[in-house]
Amino acid sequence: MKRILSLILTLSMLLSCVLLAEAEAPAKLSICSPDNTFGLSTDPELQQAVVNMLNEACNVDLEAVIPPIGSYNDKLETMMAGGDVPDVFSISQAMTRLPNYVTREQCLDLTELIAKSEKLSALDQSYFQALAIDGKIYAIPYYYPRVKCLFLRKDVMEKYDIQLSETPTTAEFITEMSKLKGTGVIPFSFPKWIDNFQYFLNSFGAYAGIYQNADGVYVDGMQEPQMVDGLNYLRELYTSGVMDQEFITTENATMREYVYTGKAASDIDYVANYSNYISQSAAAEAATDVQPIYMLVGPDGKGGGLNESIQTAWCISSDCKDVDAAMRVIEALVTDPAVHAGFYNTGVEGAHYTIENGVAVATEKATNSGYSIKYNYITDSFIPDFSSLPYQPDEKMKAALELQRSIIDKGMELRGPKQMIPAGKSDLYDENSASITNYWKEVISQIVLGSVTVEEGLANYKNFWNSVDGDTILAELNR
Amino acid sequence: MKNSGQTVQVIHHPAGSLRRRLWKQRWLLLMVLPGILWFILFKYATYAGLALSFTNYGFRKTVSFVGLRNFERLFRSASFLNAFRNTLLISLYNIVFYFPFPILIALLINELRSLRARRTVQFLIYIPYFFSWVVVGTVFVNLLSPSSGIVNQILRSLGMESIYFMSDVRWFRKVLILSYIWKQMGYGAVIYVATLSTVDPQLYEAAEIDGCGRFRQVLYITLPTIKPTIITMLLLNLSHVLMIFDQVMVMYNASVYSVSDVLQTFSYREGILTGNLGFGMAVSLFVGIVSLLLVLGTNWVSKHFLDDSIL
Amino acid sequence: MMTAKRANAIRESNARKAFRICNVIFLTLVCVIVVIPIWNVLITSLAADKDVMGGVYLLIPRSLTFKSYARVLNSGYMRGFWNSLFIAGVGTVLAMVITTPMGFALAQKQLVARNFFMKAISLTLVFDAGIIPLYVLIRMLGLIDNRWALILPFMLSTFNLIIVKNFMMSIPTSFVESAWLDGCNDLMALIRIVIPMAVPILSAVTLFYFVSFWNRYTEAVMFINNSSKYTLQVMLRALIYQSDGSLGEGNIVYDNTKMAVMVLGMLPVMLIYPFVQRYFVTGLMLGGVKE
Repeated sequence: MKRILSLILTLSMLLSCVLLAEAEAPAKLSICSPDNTFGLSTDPELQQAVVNMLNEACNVDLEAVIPPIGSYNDKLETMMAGGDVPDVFSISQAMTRLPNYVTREQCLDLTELIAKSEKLSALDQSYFQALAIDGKIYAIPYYYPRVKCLFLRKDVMEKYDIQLSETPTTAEFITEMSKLKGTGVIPFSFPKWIDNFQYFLNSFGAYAGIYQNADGVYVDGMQEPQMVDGLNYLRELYTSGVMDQEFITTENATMREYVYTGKAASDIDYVANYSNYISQSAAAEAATDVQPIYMLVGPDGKGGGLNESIQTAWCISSDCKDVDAAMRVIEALVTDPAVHAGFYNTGVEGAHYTIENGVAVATEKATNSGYSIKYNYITDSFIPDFSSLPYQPDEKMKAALELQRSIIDKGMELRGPKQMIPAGKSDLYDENSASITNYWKEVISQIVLGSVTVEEGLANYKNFWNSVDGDTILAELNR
Repeated sequence: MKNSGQTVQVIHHPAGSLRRRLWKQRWLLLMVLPGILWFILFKYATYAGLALSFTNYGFRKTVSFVGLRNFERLFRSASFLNAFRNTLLISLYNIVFYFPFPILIALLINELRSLRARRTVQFLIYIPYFFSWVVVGTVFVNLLSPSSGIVNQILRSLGMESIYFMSDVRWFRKVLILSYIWKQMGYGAVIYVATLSTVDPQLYEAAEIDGCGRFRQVLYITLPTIKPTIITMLLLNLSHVLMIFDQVMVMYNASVYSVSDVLQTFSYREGILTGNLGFGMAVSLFVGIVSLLLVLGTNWVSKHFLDDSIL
Repeated sequence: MMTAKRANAIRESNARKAFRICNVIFLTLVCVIVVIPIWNVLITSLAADKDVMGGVYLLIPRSLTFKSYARVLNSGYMRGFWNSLFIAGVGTVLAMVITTPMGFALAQKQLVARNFFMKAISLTLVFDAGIIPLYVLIRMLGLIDNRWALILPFMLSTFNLIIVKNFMMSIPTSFVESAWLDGCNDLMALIRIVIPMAVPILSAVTLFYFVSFWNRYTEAVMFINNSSKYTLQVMLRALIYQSDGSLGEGNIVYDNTKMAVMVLGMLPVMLIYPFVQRYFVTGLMLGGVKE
């Protein structure tokens, strides 16, 4: 009897030990995010340091997949197609891809989980709504919607007497910038990415692509009457010599470098990149301040900055086994100052940087992989207060960040429209949306370059629209 | 060195001939075995994926059979027909303009007297193969820039106007081919150079003594030697020329989509990017079938007109 | 030797001399066209940061510094290098061990089911199911995040196999037959007689395999999850493309670093090439000038 009792006792002790151990063991999760996160360094050891930091902060055991950002979407697609969806993953180009992933039932509905989470429900919910589909939230953003404005070199403005306010009219922009013709300075540098033209189309109330108008009806922006005015203006920008004649072969980085070195007077860039212009123009030995132009006011008083809304957000896989742990990780990334700053920018102390006099200094190992200390999180994230961090930006940077903060706020105020078209409503739309987008990009670029006239271009577009049964698409979306 | 026509006499045994032959050829069969296993596993097993072209795999969570709908959609789609046309045109340019180049270069290198010169030239033209297409793209953008590029500077000094090659629908395909030639010709020449080095020099000597000039030597000795290699390379190139992707993806821009969108970029856009993997498979299957027809057709032509069957 | 040389000199006609001169000019022109961009890459990689900003195309060096190379070499280059070397080295050896005998066997007209094999193999030239079925297969084999996922699916190439097979077919059967008469079996015939005759082609194919293993990028990204197992190509591209084109930005990477990355990425193959080239760019053995 005694022996049986002691056996039962021992067994139950062992069992409770095991159960306790399981309860306390960190939850196993897989996380996937491109390599411009995890501490802004592509060095695997440094990335692992960030993973460890996350593990400690959230009591999880993370298996991190960190693909290069250039191949991030392809890798995510392949993993999904192969059935390997990571538990927590970052979605990029959310405006176009999220509806797609949701219809493929890859993302978990997070609406209730967000409501349950104290920290997340304390944030401004309108940002979550920007990514909502049918009222449900499937992705959690972690930064303010990105807006682009024009940046104009102040030294060029002074030298050539260019008088432009922060919200000039469309006509003023061309007149003043034309003063740079023949000076050897490119008045306005522009990248090959056609979606940037939306900045100018906003001034005419035009929108490239399918969108829901003020009456809630889905229409095709390319066929609306105000598009003609917008396209005419774009063509004028090009023929007047204001826009870089070789924009169609210019990369983003090249465009910025033109402005940094003074080869160009202005370009179009995220409002949050303001501080880059100050620091990089100094590095190029052509230091200057830049003036933001938040929007151009069109003839009807319309206008707005280029709204790229929220393109990156966190999702949880619909196959995730431990949703609570996943939410813990996301909460920390979005709301915890130390975790957020470390993950998105500065990394981990000792590995990426050391602290000297309250200022963070990059280690040599980190610098070699291209890392540098950035403070974007102070202005970009939803976290209002980073003073709890052991390192703070120096006075000069603080001043620049204050200025940047006000620029970001102003940009947000004056931003243009951006919409996400739901997937699953019209199969025809889902199948053809990529080609439709491709086609209007082609038409607009050809119109601007002058290979076709506005009328010809829009006629070609109409032909294409009919060939993909565009009117049926609109009918289906409007059902 | 052509097969001098001697064939092996296979003696047929009346009974148990198969088993006899298998035993006699046991070493040959052993050599073939690992490869065959590899083909079954890494090629034919993946072809099961092509069966997905008859489904709507990836588009929604549940996979359902859709029969020929993907193919119907394919042939109705104007973008597809445009992509197909572009692919055929670019492939034609590739075969007509690129294909002879490595052969020509190999023959010319062979004519150089100094061994060091041969090795140097071969080495230099071989280097661009290692540039990724992104870099080659940047190189050509710079080269062809209307304001600062060398080509346009030359044009202007000749009194002509600058041409914006990279955004001109009349020129872009030519830019694709020229950059392809620049990048690949050295690598392509390797195989011909290797074959040329197997030519028995005594043949040249004998021809020299018989009074043959160099040109006739090339015509009657060199070319026939590399003819099988040329045809092999032609068929091999044809088999994958329709799959051009990386180069176009990296070098094209919105203003030239209409002339450079190819089948693989079309498939990437309407297949992978929208998650419509079944459709993407349909395009792969289609490309495979067309390539097969091309290859078989050329093989038939070469068998009947050039006396050489490669496959 | 002397008489042959003099005999050649006497026979050389003017036309032939003219041709040779034109040939040299033409090839020099080709080399120049090829070298200019290579030179540009080299110069850019050695330039200082401020000299490469703004899309400047350098032909004359403005500054000379190895800082870009130091940056790249210190950012985990060696780890990626060893990963790539393992994969390319093992892969090439395996590939040649499988391809050469198979090419020889298929070249023998008496091979059982030869037609069937050739047809089945040729089909794989034209059909390609894409990366996703391959991913699923690798996953089923449990090889995700394993170096062998980058070796096994590529240790045979139909292209190279056909090249080897066709070359071996051009070797007169009399050689193989005489080996049989000497009592060799097929394997020994292959090793003792055929391979030495096929050295030029085999060295070319070895080069092809090595280069394709070395340059492989897409599959390396798809099949490997752990950053420390990245091959050199992935690591290098991750270093220079820290932004995703139209969206997203990371660190600012200047052109000089990008070019240094390119040079370091191709350097290993460049170094191997001259050794391999020796086997297929040969001089004339007899007659003519040999240096």
